[in-house]
Amino acid sequence: MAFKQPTGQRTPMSPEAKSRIAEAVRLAAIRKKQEQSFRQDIHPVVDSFIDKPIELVRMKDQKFPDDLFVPMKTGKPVDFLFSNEGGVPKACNFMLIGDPGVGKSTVSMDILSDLAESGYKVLFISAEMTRIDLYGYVKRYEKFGNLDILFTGEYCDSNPKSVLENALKPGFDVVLIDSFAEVQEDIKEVLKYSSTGSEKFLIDLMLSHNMGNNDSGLNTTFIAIQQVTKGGVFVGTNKLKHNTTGMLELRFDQDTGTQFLVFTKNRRGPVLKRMFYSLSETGDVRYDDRRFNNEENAREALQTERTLIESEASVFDRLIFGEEETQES
Amino acid sequence: MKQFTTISQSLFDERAREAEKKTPIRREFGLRDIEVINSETLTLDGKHVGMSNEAFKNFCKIVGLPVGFDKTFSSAFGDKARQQLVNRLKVAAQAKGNSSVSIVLNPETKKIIAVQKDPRDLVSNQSFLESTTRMINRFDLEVSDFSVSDDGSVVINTASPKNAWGIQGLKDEDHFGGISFSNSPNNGFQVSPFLYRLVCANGMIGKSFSETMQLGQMDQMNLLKFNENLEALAKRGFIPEKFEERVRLAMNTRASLAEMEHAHGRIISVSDADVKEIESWIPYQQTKASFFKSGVDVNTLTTNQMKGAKTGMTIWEMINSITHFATHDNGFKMKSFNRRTLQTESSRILCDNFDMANLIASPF
Repeated sequence: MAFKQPTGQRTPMSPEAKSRIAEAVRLAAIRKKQEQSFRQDIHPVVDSFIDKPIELVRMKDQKFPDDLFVPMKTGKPVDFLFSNEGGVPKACNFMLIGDPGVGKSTVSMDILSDLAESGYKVLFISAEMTRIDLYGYVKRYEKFGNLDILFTGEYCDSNPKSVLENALKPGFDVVLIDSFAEVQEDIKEVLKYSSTGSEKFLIDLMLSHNMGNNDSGLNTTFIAIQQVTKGGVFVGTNKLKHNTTGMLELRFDQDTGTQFLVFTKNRRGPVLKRMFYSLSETGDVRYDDRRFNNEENAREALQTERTLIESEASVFDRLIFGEEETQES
Repeated sequence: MKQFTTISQSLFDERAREAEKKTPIRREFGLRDIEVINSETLTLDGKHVGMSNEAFKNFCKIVGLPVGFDKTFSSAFGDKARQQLVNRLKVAAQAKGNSSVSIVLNPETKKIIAVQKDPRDLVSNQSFLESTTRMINRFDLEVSDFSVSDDGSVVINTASPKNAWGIQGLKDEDHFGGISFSNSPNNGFQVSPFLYRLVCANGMIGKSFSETMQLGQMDQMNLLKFNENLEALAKRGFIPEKFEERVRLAMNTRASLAEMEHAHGRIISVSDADVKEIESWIPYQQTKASFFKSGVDVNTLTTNQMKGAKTGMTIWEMINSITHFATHDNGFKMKSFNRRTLQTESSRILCDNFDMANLIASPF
């Protein structure tokens, strides 16, 4: 079969194709306009993070109030996982991931409630549950009833960035986001942002509030529940990972089926130390600090033993081979 | 009722220093650097070092020579052949991938007292004391005894006087429990229930009860399991599960002549008391005389006949005699480590099958 020779003339475009291209151009123009508008309207501090000129910092020239380094105590054993000093540190961002049904929302809301009871100003941003969902939840966990909650699902038709900025504007000590991915999805959907763009917006907003850029000047700490892949791996870009102070994982113990918390990354506290917990019927998270101490003691004992084994080897050599060498010399 | 006595903090500290000083030391050696000369000596990198019989047995076991077989082999083919066999097996073990062993040395005698697969098979006295002190504080235990033997083995007996308990319906059977902690080169870190009988202030180390635990190799999982089991025992007030049942049975079962002879022999072997002096605790001679009087020459009895000869003493009375002899200063010379041996032996007797327990009433 012979092919037709090219004639150099274009085939006329169908009306459907023309219309599709026109629509794509129109959407691209809208997105560009929205992004420009976002950059103009953006919170000045967030903007400063985006377009900030390069600045080299010497830490000795930096000044922060001492109070910034006093962690916020929940009064529960979990304090010793969050920071070496004991308590949730200020101006930090913690990501929380975990197995389905392990109690991510319950544990994080319990931490938030305990901090609220200790007198800290807290906010819960719920992007997964509705008022009705949480009503049932609070019946079981009464202490969650006193939390200030923003249900983002109730603002589907609004600009999510304005909703978040306005909600955070008064300033909070701790903000819990459930979940980071859902909030990010809202931004993507309404503002037609890319995944990276929406994540960047959220991270910049968190960093801004970490620095105390809000009406109360509070250095906010964020605890954000993040989704994981089917393989249990954290979903997020490197930017998110880099701006995360700690990665808290909630897992089921394979042998006993009991739940535990563990920091796989923590710039402020210990890592890979497991704190087992159980969810009580009456609405509280019970931490097994005895088991935690046992694990700690076991770890210490092993470390001591390793050191001793090394030092004993040289004593052994001195006792058995040392005298001979001395005699020979 | 006698007073439960505890040791002072200064004595505890003194014993702890002694235990740390005597703690056996470990070093890993490649099997190729070890050569067995005979059952008492081996060479490490060409240097002759003495070893205990136990250490030789350990080494034989590691290279795959069944315990006891080496003796048979030695008597048949001589020491030289045995040495060659052990060294050949060592080469075979190397080929299987067992490239190194941990040699445990007594720092004072410079003699090898154990050979183990891994240095972590032995727990140093320092770690043992740290763990034990932590448990003593956690469970609010009182230390009644702390002994250190020449090979660095340590035994610490503790009790919890706040948790006294009795056996329902039995007079004078009020006890309180506790834990006996021990660490030795050959048995490792062990914990056993410790039982203290209030009426006579006798102590028993319950190594034969199922609650006895051995740490095994020192790793995270073993340590955690060890702690969990210990907590479970503490929750039960340190009462071994089968204790009450065994006591009732021991009270209702007479000791056989064989059992009495054994108990008598054990006391004699660990003290300087003579046969007559021990009669106050185990009336063995008196019992034998009674058999003679009734026309039975006990010297001609077979082992099984001895097991079938009923005495006038119950097992429980016999056990209390042993624990009394072991716990109190009766004016005889006895090393503290031997006292612990007797206290352990008493629980073995309590947990073992009694000779007279399975007698069947004859219908004829």
